Amino acid sequence: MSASYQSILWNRQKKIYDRVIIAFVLLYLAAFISFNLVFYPQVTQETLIIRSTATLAILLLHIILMIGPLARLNPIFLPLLYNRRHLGVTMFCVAAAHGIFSIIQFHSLGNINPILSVFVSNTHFNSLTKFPFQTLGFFALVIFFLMAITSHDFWLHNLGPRVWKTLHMLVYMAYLLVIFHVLLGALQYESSSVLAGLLGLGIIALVSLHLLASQKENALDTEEILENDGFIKVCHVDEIIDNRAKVVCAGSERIAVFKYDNKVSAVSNVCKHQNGPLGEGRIIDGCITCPWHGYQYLPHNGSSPPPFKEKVATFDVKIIDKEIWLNPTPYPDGTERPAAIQS
Amino acid sequence: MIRPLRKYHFLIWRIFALVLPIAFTMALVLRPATPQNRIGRNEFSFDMKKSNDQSMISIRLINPLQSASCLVYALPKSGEKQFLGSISRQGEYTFSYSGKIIGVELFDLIRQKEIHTHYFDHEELP
Amino acid sequence: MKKILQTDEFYVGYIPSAPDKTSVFIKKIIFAGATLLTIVAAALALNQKQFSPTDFEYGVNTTLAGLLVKSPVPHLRISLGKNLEGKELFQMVLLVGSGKHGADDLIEKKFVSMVTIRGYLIYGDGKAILQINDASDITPNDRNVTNSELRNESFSKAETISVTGEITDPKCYFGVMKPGEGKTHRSCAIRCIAGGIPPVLKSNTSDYFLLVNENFESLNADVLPIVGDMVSLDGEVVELDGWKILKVKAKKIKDLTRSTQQRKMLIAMDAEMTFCSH
Repeated sequence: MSASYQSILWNRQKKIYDRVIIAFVLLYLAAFISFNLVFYPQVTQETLIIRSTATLAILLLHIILMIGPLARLNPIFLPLLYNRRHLGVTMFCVAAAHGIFSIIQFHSLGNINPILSVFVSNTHFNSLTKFPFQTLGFFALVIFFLMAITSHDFWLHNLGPRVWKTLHMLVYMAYLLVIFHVLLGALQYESSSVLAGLLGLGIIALVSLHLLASQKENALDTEEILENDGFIKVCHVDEIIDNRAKVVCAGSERIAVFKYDNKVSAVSNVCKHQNGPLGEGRIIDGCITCPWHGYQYLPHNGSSPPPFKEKVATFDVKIIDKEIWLNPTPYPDGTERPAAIQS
Repeated sequence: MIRPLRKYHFLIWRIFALVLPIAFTMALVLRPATPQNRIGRNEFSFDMKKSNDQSMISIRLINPLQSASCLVYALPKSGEKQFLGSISRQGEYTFSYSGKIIGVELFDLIRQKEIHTHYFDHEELP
Repeated sequence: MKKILQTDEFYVGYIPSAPDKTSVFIKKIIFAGATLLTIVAAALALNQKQFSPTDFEYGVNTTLAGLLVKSPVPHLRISLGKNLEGKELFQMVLLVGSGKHGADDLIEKKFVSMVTIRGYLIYGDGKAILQINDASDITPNDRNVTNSELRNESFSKAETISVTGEITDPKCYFGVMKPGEGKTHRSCAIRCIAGGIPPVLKSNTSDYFLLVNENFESLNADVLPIVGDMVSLDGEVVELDGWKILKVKAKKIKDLTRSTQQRKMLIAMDAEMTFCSH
């Protein structure tokens, strides 16, 4: 959370995260290149660059896309999510190296503009196996580029969460483009089943994790709700552990009902930063703390403690016979509402 | 995450679960059969048959040449090497030489490098 | 595993130290990730198609002397020496320009004559190609052309054959790129052939055919739509100084590309060969 923007707010965990990313990138490149030089001394440097960056980028893309559902399925994976954007930018850099080298290798020094050549050299657009697969990689790289340059919070605030999220949802389109880029490119040339096998495993793992996480989320969104006099029943007060919340889905959005200091307050479950699930966070130093990036809000008014300016909607709660009841009509973001007191 | 996004995610991955396996299978099934690449380089076998005063030399190029040219020279028992011809792609080549030879030399004229020299066993010599 | 995954800890990124259990778990993930990464690198690296035993001596000049010939494709005819029957043997060294360009522009103003050419050598399978970087790398020799150097004598007898294989550019195939063939290289081969590098049909039995039309002229523009595809072409083949030259009628290539287009309209997803017949 920030009151003003800096290039990157470094902290120890981010530094560790980045070092691990760099170590992973170097390890992979060193391993891939070494195995090639030992077992395929005939390989050219250009092919080594193109293939090592291609395989690393697609591997990183799979890891990046797996972190989301893993963290939804079990919060112990949350540390991987914390600095995922640096992993994303790294993946873009590796993919860009692959794309730029491929364009130089296959399209430059010819009789037309290299970028134009990507689109007009192979024109079998109406065939599947002969399809100009490089165009697919090109568009995926454009998406990754847009995502990478807008990955800073500056852009999140200036574009607005809606535009920013829509832009970053394009990662799925990019994933589809990348998979087809490989299926219709390298896979049509290589005859070994290893490349196909690994790609298949990656697809299966990713799709399964996302479906599992979606099902888990879906179950919460479709829970039956008991309603009385404009209030909905949340749960027995003892069902919530101190400094934690119970999440209920009322109307169009989820609400986090927190219990702390013998009090109960309700705020929107959606963090203003990146829509993180506040209800899966904790109250630390009297503030609701988002599990994704640690943004904080005061439970009684949904406002970030000064000097921070983020605010979320608040709700009325009451306790009747140790049962918590919630009015799902939101107050404007940051409105102070009295907490319900446990008797 | 907000509810519409959750629904959107679920929808996308259900579509992917359907589309990706189909695309993957089709790409594999329709993959064109390409000839296997050749492994290794500059691998030969040599043979020599002698009839009367003629030496029949056969050279089988097992693996492709990593050379710009490949000239075949006969190495006589005495005197200078004799140019017989050239070889390029894989296959069997035969050359005849009137006289006694002890071996053959393969030489890359363009790169000015010796590729291989083979000496026939003494038992084969007349 | 289930025990490891159950924790009451809460991780906050900006707090310097991660909680103990979480920290241990993440360390395990990092270790497993590094192992997996190495295995994947090895599996992918060790299961590639073999690279061809060809070479491109980039930056190293080779100087060759011979007869500069423009037709059917720009080449240097170098003498290999006289064999035992007293017949002089020659080798055709194809000439190409730098990048994805042919050598036509560089030798356009040069007369057919004995020359010395300096350039980067591209070679493999006993075939040689010379990349000329500048027209000034070609210098005329004083020597006159001898009778045996006139190429017509060297033509083998023509015969009609059918060849199945892939059309690619010899510059990439014989060493500049690995692989210089197949789906991943198709666009590059199209650029090279469009840039004037003579097309070569690499047969499925690893034989090579320079492609020209019935008048012994360039077919570069005609073959572009079928470069990189598996095709069957038939025509007259003649052998000249170590290269086979396949004369294919330009009209047949046009018919073939047209029928390929039509077929693709009907069957959008075909991976079969496209045939050309008389």
